[in-house]
Amino acid sequence: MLLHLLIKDLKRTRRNPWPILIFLAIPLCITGLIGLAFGPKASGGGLGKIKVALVDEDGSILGGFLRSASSQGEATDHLETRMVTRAEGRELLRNNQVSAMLVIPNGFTDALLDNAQPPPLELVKNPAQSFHPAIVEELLGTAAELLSAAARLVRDELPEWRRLIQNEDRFDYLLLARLITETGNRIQAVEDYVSPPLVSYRQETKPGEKADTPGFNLFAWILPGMASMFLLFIGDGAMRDLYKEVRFRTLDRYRTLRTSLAPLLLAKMLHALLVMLAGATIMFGGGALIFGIGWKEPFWLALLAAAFSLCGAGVLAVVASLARTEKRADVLNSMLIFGMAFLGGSMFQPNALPAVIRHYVSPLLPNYWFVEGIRQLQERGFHGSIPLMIGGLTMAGLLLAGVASTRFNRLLQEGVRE
Amino acid sequence: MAMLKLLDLAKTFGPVRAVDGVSLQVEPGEIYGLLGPNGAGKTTTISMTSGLLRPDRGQVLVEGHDFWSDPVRAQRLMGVVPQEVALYEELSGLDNLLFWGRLAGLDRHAVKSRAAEVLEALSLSDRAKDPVKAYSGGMKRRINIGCALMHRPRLLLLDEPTVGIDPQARQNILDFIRHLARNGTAILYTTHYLEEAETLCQRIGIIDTGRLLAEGTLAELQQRVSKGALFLLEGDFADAKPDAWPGFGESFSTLQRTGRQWLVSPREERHPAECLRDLLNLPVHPENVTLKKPSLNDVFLQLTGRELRE
Repeated sequence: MLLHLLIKDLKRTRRNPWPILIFLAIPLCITGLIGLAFGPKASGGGLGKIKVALVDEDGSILGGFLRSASSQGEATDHLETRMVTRAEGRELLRNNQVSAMLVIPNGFTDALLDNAQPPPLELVKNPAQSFHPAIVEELLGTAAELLSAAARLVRDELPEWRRLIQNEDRFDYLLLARLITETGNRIQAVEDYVSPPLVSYRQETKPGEKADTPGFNLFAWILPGMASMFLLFIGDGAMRDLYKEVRFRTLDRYRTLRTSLAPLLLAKMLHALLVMLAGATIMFGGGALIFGIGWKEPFWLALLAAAFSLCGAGVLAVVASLARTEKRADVLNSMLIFGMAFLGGSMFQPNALPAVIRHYVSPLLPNYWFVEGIRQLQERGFHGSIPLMIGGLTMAGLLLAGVASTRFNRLLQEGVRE
Repeated sequence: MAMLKLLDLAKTFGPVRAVDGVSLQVEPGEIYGLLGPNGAGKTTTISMTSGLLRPDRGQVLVEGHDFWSDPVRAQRLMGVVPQEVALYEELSGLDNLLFWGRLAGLDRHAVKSRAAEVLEALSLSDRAKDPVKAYSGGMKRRINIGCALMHRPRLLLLDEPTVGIDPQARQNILDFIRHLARNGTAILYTTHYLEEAETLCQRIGIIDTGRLLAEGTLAELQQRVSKGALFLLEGDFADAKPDAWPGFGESFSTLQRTGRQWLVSPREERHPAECLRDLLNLPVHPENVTLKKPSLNDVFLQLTGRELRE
């Protein structure tokens, strides 16, 4: 009989899938919007290629140097510069085609070579983007510091460097050789202060691990949180179907044919569990297809989703059983889902929450374990605490299901009405 | 043996006495009509009979066995058609029949053949696979009845099954119910439609404010109101004082009196012409006198002092 009840509910869901489809689409849309607003996905360990418009009003060697530097070697993986006029640069910014426009003002190189204070470099950031313009600004700051240090280092030779650069008739190789030697001597003199650097890092690739791992993916960070919240909404719809059975009097009809309510309640919980699992499959599968998220450890991810669905169905069933009316269940469950999402790390990272919530509230919520579990799987792969999370969620789900079943039985015997 | 016997059923909701001492019985092949206005206690009586509510007092006997001593057996014997259309509207009529049939205990093969039979009997075979939400009100009502018939119940409880549907659909349903009764099904039928009770039911119980006021065949109930006939007098009776007229109270009783209409019944069985002569000799001048056979509404009027249609 349990099977007939479950098949009936699944058929009804199939005939009217819109409520579930909406709850499936919303997290994918929100993830997409947030992801696009704060930066696209990154493969290769960075944040994608940063496009910069370069306006060389100075018309000097420095502009050419910057352009050639950004189009060589590793820089091409991260930077894409386009030499444009100021008007063209503005147009590119307006059309969101570049992250920033860098203007080298007229007279910049001359002032630098004359040991004078050069006019400031001008950086116009694209207000429609957040990460990339900030990165360009940081890079420019570093470049300015280096340029300033270099200028101070070779201050005495600058007039001769200028003569070498500006001599258009005949290139003086002897002068170049001398200047390089003198500059080299100066660099050698300060070598002890700058080399080796005091702080450095080394990148290692463990044997058997892919050298080119997928980098940080913002979508993969956002989607589990969104999914946990909207999976609960999907489960809520399925559990509240019990009240629809009351409203449409099909529950009364059931009770004229069967004395025990347990199969009906169990079928509703199984139905909620199945639609949540189907929802999780679509959300995470959609995340992989649409946003290119590479889910690590899909088996453990699936188990985590199943345990979370069971626990979520249990929580919602308990609330529905306490509510006594459909309207009250609707309000209570919505508030609870938003509350759990807020406090359990679906909306914000738990670290961003006040300490008292982070330590005493979040760890009690299923969202926390689900989202944390997925993020840990993504960051560290499978490890010992993942089965504990799954076990905890499963146990809590079964316990809550028992409580809800007992409570519902009593409620329906007392005569619940919509 | 009576298929259904209700003995002194009573149910109270807070201060409201919804059903107070209702007793009746339904024989196999009989249609028993429980007639009463909204709020009279009909649905509560059906709910207690079908096990949805436990009575505060009294007993429900199904084929001689107490319902609550063996509810599973009682449920197998009875089919219940609730007042509201209790169907899954997303599913087709056929799916609904199959689901309720399986829930009633039919196996996979039996349920399919029975669903085909029920659809045929209800003239719904051609729309069997359409979702219920696409059905007309009459079709929904028919499937609503069909779901209760899947397990061939010998006792059928119908709670106002024709509310809100057009006359033709209603007639189809009533014909179908007559057909079921002819095949031996005992039927308890609640309604507030006088015509349904008059034309469909072999016996009628009149219920109001939770109490069964009278029961019997239509003829027995009519006889109870007047000894054969009622007289409807029309005219200006505003100043009439019948209590002061000598002999009137001994010969006639007033069922209803409004500004221009006065409904009276003779207290004893007398020839209508004799009654008419006495009425025309009264110190009022009726413009019109109509001789009529008592209706169920007149019975209700006599029992409660108000019309069933009010």
